[in-house]
Amino acid sequence: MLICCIQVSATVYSQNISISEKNISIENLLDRIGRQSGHTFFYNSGLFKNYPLIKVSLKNVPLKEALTRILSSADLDFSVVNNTVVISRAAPKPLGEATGMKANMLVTGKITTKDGNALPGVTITAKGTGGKQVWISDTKGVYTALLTNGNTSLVFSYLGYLSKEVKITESRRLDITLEENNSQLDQVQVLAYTTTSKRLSTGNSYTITSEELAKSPVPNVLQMIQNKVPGLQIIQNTGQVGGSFNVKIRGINGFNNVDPLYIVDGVPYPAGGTNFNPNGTSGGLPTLGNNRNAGTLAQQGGNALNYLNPEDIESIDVLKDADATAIYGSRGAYGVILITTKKGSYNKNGDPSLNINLDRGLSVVGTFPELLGTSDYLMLRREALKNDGLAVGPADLDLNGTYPLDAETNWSKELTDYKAWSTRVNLRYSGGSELTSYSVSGSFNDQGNVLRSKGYNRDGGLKVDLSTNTKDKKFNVTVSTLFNSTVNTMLPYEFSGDAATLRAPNGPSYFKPDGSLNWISNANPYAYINTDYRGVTNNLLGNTTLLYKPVKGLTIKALVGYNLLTGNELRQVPTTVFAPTDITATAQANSASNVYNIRTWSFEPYASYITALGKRGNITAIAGATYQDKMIYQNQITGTGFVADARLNNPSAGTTVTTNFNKSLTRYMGYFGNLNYNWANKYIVNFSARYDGSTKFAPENRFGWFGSVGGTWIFSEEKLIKENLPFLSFGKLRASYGTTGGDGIPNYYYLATYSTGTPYLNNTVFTTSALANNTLHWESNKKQDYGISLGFLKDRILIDASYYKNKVSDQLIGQPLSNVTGFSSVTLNSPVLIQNTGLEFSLSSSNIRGKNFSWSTSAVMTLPKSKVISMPEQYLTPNFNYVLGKSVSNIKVFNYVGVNPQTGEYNYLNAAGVQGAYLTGLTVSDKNINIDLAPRYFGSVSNSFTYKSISLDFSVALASKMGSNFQGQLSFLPGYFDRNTTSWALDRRQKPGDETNVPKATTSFISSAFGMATFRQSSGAYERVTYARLQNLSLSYSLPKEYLKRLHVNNLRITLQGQNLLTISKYRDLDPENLSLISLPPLKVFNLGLNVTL
Amino acid sequence: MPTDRFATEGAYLNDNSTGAVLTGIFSTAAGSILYNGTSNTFETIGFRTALYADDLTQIQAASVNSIAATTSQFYLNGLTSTNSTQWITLYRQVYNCNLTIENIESHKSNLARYNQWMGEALFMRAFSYFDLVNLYGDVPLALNSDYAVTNFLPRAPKAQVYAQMAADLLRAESLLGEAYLDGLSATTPNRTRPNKFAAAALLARVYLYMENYAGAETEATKVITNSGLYQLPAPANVFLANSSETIWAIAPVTGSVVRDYYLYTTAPAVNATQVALANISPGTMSTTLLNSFETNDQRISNWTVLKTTTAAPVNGQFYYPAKYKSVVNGTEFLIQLRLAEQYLIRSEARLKQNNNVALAVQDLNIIRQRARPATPTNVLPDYPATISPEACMDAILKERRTELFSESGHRFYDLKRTGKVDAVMTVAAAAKGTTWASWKQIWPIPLNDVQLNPNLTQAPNYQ
Repeated sequence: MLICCIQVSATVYSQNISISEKNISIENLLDRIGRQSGHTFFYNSGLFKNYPLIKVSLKNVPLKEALTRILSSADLDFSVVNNTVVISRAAPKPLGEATGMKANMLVTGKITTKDGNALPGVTITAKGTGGKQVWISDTKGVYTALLTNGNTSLVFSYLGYLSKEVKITESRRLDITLEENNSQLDQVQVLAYTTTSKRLSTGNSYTITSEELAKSPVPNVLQMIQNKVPGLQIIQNTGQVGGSFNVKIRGINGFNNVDPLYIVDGVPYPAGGTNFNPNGTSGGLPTLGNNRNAGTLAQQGGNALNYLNPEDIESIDVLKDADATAIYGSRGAYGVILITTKKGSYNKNGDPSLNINLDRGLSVVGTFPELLGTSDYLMLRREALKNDGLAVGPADLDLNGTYPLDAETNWSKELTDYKAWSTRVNLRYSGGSELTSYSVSGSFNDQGNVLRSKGYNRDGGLKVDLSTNTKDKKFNVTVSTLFNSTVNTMLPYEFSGDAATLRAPNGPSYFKPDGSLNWISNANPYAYINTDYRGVTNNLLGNTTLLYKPVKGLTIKALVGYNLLTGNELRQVPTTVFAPTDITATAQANSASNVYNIRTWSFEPYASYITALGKRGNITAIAGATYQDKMIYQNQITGTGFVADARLNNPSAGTTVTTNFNKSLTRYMGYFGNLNYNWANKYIVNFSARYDGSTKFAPENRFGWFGSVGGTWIFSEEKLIKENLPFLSFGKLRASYGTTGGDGIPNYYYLATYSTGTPYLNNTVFTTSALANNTLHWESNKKQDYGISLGFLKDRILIDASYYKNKVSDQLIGQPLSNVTGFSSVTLNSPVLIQNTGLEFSLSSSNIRGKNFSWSTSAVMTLPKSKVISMPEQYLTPNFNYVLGKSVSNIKVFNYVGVNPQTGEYNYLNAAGVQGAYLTGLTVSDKNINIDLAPRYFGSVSNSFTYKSISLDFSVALASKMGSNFQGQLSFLPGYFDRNTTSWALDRRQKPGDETNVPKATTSFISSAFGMATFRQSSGAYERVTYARLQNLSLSYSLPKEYLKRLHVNNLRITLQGQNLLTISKYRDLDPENLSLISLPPLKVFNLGLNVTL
Repeated sequence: MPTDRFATEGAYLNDNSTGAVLTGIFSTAAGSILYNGTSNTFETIGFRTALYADDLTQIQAASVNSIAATTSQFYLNGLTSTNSTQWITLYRQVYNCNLTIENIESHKSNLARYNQWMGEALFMRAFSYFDLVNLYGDVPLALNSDYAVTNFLPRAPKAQVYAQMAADLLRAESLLGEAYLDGLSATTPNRTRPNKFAAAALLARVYLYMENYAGAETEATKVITNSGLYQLPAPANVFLANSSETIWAIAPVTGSVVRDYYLYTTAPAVNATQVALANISPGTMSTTLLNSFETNDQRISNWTVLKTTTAAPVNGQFYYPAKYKSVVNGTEFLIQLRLAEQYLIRSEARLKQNNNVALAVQDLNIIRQRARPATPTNVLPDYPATISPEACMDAILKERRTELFSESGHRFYDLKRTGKVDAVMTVAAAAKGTTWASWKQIWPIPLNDVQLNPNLTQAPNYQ
């Protein structure tokens, strides 16, 4: 031992020293002083070797004075830092020179942040000792290091801060200020009950921060992160505001196609699902949804994230592998999306800040089919009649003079090409002190409709956050409340279906000049435009976290969360929706009111303990419990038959009134534990376990164990690497394995149940609706994940690559049954085994980092693959599309072989290999072409340029998948009456022998409708859709500081943004993302924003 | 447990809750596409079989809209395995009955009105199987609710299914009382739940199809002789709700009216375009059906509606069945069993037993009598007791056609059971512009069911 360290155990310390001794060694004297004052002394063990015994007489002398008196005579110097006293020789000489050997040096001091806050836990390493000399700063940021190797350097390093290296030539006091490191490696990543960083994580998760989100001017956060997270596939089903999304983490993890679990500030959030399956797997909203009679799709209320203001979001963490998700036990199988909202913050000088964000935007439909003009349309029509050997007849209204031959309307644009203006206002006031911080923010958004039907979507929100600590910072209370109210008056119909938009371009308008409906032959596909809709959705999110740190290393935390999402809708279908000649109009007029709420509350108490274990290791242990309770309540009143439309505002006034009341409860209960061991930030292992239960299963199948193990080796910390590969600033290998469960089925499917139906002749009605299966239990998802992360040139280039392999068994599926059973399926755990594998890459590079100009690039890419790896022989597959060895998203289609040059018809090969037109007659067994609809790859490349105070950001999305093409979604062939098409049809076969891929024009219903029915199910209806899309573009200018000072403004920024501005693809007429003729394509958005911080 | 559902046990706790389960079976039938339906489709058994046989003509070939496209597959006798909604719906009805029968049996001690509930459930099961065998020939005989069993059933011989129907109906007849009751076992004017006579009437029909003529006569007689309950009202009143003609009917679901109104009778009434007419119903009464009526038959003026088109493409006159005419809920119920059919059953049963023409024409003439106008007096004369048995049989079939047209599949089933289907349909199909083959009298079943159940085979010649 080279160091003599006097530890004290007295409980009462005195500030002044009283000692009286005649013959005492300096060592003994210091020991006595230490006992009295509570100080620890550090000095080289040989320091007092040659000093004689001394005499002291001290009475109530302050420590410093006492030490001066004692040590000055002995030619010694000292320094006091908090409770530590370091003693060294007073007149330093180059020690090595003097002694001719390596001398010991003692260094002590305090480590703080730029703001002056103490930094505990900083690692201090003596350079060149091969990591043998390491010290850690204490809770007050104080450290003491004794260097035994002579002339050397100390390296101060702390997670999230830039390391500092100081050359040491002598014993001395050395105070250090560490600056925060903005390296992506050290950005905080939120996990279930802990946080980590890219550097230290053992699992696979991906974080998106609010700065990234701010680059997209769109109302739903899912649109913002589209294509930007490796492994996360998001498809916008419709461009309509408030629409639904298809969200999958690492592919379709089962036949059920379940959405991930969403957690907002620790509370499960009912996002996901569409209103078509309100009781669906992930709990979409039980909205009124679309009235099918109107014909087209609308998916309003399709995603509860529509009711969360993206401005309130601080970060989004997407958890993917078992290491990150196993702690969610029975529900982590499909991945987890953690959303953390913005909390209070304060700056050093304590001034509150006010941030104002104003946006004005414009949305228009992004893609229109290139419809034929009247002359081309009529030319095809005439040719069709000629092909069919027919003359223009009385039914050919477009040719026989009934429709003017020179009129031309683009019906698609007539209905959907409207400008939707939007206004967004966000205010945020925050401030506080070291102990208490707060934030209050308010928002107002107004979004118009791109459809002729108009209406708006307006929401206002208020968010209040408060966090307060006791003086000793041992106890913390954080309260966060968010309220958002949305009013939507957009009709739940899209009017973008083929019957509405592909009409004859010379056909008469279904609208009169004054905008009212024009009834032609008593039919009007836009009749539902006269409907009235109003939906109010309120979202209350509140949570309180209590945190107590009784002793060093131990944290006890309890989280209470509450989420109430309530909806209140009224839809009125007046008599004017029906033809004026329809005498049943008043009988058919109807209105419906729907009140629902989804209430979730959760309580999660847990404790974590961190302590050193081993020389350079520390261990963190977490144990806790979770209890969640979700209730869905719905009350619906539908009235049909109204004598006067004015009464429609009260559905209960209808001639016939039906009501529906439903209340349904799901509970989760679980216990979890997590153990993390970190050896010198070099080797990290992480274990998670969870025991939990879900009321979705019969009591005997309710509880189960889930767990994971993950490990990380940061090999760049190895001496060998450090010395030989200096350009490699970071290198890490990561692996994890574990199991999670999935319960993606509606509640109470294990029970045979009856429900109450509409009374029949005034008698109560009980009906049964599903087959029961009390053996239902969890789907099991075994996840493996391997990753490598590399950082080059001081982390200026970071590359991350992962490979994953998920095996899903015990799939909860609707097993098809022969209808003789009374049902077409029963829910059970299927023996099919599915495997999802994939590669995920991400890259970030700081290309240029100059004083005035900087340029950085980031890119992510995902290559997913799924496969049915085992299926019992003669297994009754839930869907004939599931084929052993093929993808889970495989579909089987007819073998399309092109247009027969002789007949001009689409031709196919049947199972026997016989070619024909097969208007009918092909069956499922002839579907022997397999098409995988899953993406082959998707990702994005983003660039950021900054020149002085101007910055330009843009992101390009790239994706490739198989999708249905425009012609594959048509109902009729070119030439059919009142069905326009696009320039695709101009390549039709005109005369026998023409080689083309477009059939001849025809007016025959049979060949047209039946021909298309077969074609739509054939390989001809699918093509590879590869596209690059300028997903977002953001140009911003911050006013220079000198102007700002004059304006008394801290920051002022003007931003011009665009979303979905440009798409490059061979895919024609439809949007390559949602691939749909009947749903609005994603909108094109332009936005002007002003951000001021006071 | 969500409030909109409760466990099976709770449904059989007492008579009132069990009654609600049975009401559920009837209301499901009321909302089912087989009889009434609530959606804008043309799927009722009455409509589809009439179109498939020779009673309806589709006035506009598979054009205009998807409904016409689908119905044309029935009209042109070109069914595929996708046209099998009847199969699916009928077996669901069978399942509901089986589940109920099992639970009524196991909860017998809870149930004072066991007889009524069991009788109703057995009746409905037999009623469902009647359409199944007549549309699909040999069919799987599912008699319990366990999907592990029913999922692998092979087709049972038709005779076995008929025997089961007869057994069920005999038992139902013995269990059910004479009065019409509701879901709380209170007497009601609504003839919408089977009583003893409804079971007898259906059994008479089943016996007739089984060629058990003595049985058919006996059962029909039980109904006919109960003149306190059953009479033949004037043609205009036959199809009104709870008419004295009604033995058992299915009421439309709350707020709706009998589907046949929408199928045939909806506006526009006069001078419509043919397109507009076809939009209302793709099927008008066929020439052969119209020609089978004698002049001045009251049933034409009371039970059909004439729609004329003056607009393009051609002037024309189109007759539609109009047995149900009301837009007011509760005015009419869809009659499944009525007295006139019992007379016709008995007439045929008597003829087939020892060629008793005299007795047979007696019953036949009762039907003709009602259809006879006050003036002129020379129309629809009584058949003399001296006609030949063959002529008598032809007269019975003619009378069945004119009396029961567009109802419950009677025409199609009659053609099949009397062996006339190939002769009649070959001519009818030619008129439709298609061709007939004998195998077409059996409808195809869903392809999925064949694929999912290795023991189940598709009807011959279908894919």
